Amino acid sequence: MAMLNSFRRLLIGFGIAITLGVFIGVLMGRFKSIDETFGGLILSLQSVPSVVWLPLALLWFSMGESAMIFVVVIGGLWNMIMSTTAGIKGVDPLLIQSGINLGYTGFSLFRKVILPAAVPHIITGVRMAWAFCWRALMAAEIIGTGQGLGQVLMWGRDMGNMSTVLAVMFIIAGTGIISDGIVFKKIEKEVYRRWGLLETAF
Amino acid sequence: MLELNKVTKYYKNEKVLDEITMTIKEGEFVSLLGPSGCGKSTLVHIISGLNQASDGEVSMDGRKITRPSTDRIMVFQSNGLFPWLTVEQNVAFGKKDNGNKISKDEVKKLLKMIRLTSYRHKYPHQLSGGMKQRVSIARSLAMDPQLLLMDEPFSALDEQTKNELHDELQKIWMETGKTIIFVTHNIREAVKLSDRVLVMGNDPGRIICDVRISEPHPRSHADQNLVALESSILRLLEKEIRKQKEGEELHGTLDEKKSIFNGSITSLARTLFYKNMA
Repeated sequence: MAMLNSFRRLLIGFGIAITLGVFIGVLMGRFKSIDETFGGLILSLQSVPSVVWLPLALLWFSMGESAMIFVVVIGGLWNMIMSTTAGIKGVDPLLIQSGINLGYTGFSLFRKVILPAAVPHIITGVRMAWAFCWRALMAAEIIGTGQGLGQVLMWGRDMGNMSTVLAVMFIIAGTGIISDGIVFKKIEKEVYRRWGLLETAF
Repeated sequence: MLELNKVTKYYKNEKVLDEITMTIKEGEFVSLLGPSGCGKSTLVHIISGLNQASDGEVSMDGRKITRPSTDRIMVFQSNGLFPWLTVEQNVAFGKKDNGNKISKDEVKKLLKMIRLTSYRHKYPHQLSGGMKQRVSIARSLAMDPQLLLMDEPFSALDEQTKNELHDELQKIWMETGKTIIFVTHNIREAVKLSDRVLVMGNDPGRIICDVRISEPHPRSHADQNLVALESSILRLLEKEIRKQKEGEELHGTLDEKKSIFNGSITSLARTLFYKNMA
């Protein structure tokens, strides 16, 4: 039950973080003025541990799910933005020139050339965002309310039951490793292979 | 018909192209030949519209060129294929001016022409350098451009593959009758492929010689006339490079350069003529 609760928060928060992150990252990658205005800010926000947003989140969303999810979103968001921006900015100018030359402009150029070319970077960002979201969630659950893995861990502490604490820690680490290894690493590898970044010509 | 009128280009304060004037007729295969840094690549980018001239103008069939167009397609040295698309999808990628996609039949025909039909579902990273370049050429031809611009397309390839692609390009050119502007620093390549070789000099970039070659196509490397022509162009370029090294102006350049060539011209009975002598 605790795990299910945690996973639900994680998935919702993670989903919002990557959607929003890609969106803002794309804007920053495409428009220099936005990048120059917010780039420094995002970098500094990245260094703020996401759990310190919890008191604010509790004020804004009252005690409950939304506050937790907010912290999870914040946990993964900055990193997602920065990866996406880096990916968009790092697109090989030759591909853009080819795209323009082959008749693409404006949004179609972006959709058909720039975004696909940035996918490997974005995927790496997603993989990191998953880990960051996971960390943010645990911290939020330990401090915050509601049922979840973090809560179980705190009970263990309060009862002086170190085997519970250790068990939760193993679950947290195990889930992280398994989800990364089974899902994200595979996706990332597949993308890198298809984009030709792993092996060169035969 | 492509016309360049006193095209000049500055990078910061450095003049990289100096009043280039030339006319290229439809169906011609023209090489821009010169040492690295002579601005030949910049010139072809200006013709494509991907780069702009600081001064002077470029026009095709009377219309001024200011931006890229699907009329003039560029083939780059490092191919510029989209790594996330298969060979087939890359060839079919272009979008014509009227918004039409490239038809399946056309793609099939082009894949057959470059002999990569069996590779159509492969990704670029699974191909060799020569194959990639062939896909890049097919992708450009799919747009049915008036002008095909090739910026050192084969210079990263090994000698054998290069020869193979030369023969293929000659064949394609003879079949399609496209106007081709081919940038290279390889004299043999230029001489073998083109109707006309525009030899460029350095510092600032300018055309020092316009060589016409009337040898019938397809040609082979072994052709003695071409070999002789190759060495006379080499001498001309060596002189140009030496001049640049010593940083001194040659006096009476016109006569000297003419005399280098005279021997080969008469013996080859080729028409060579001179333009833009410094």
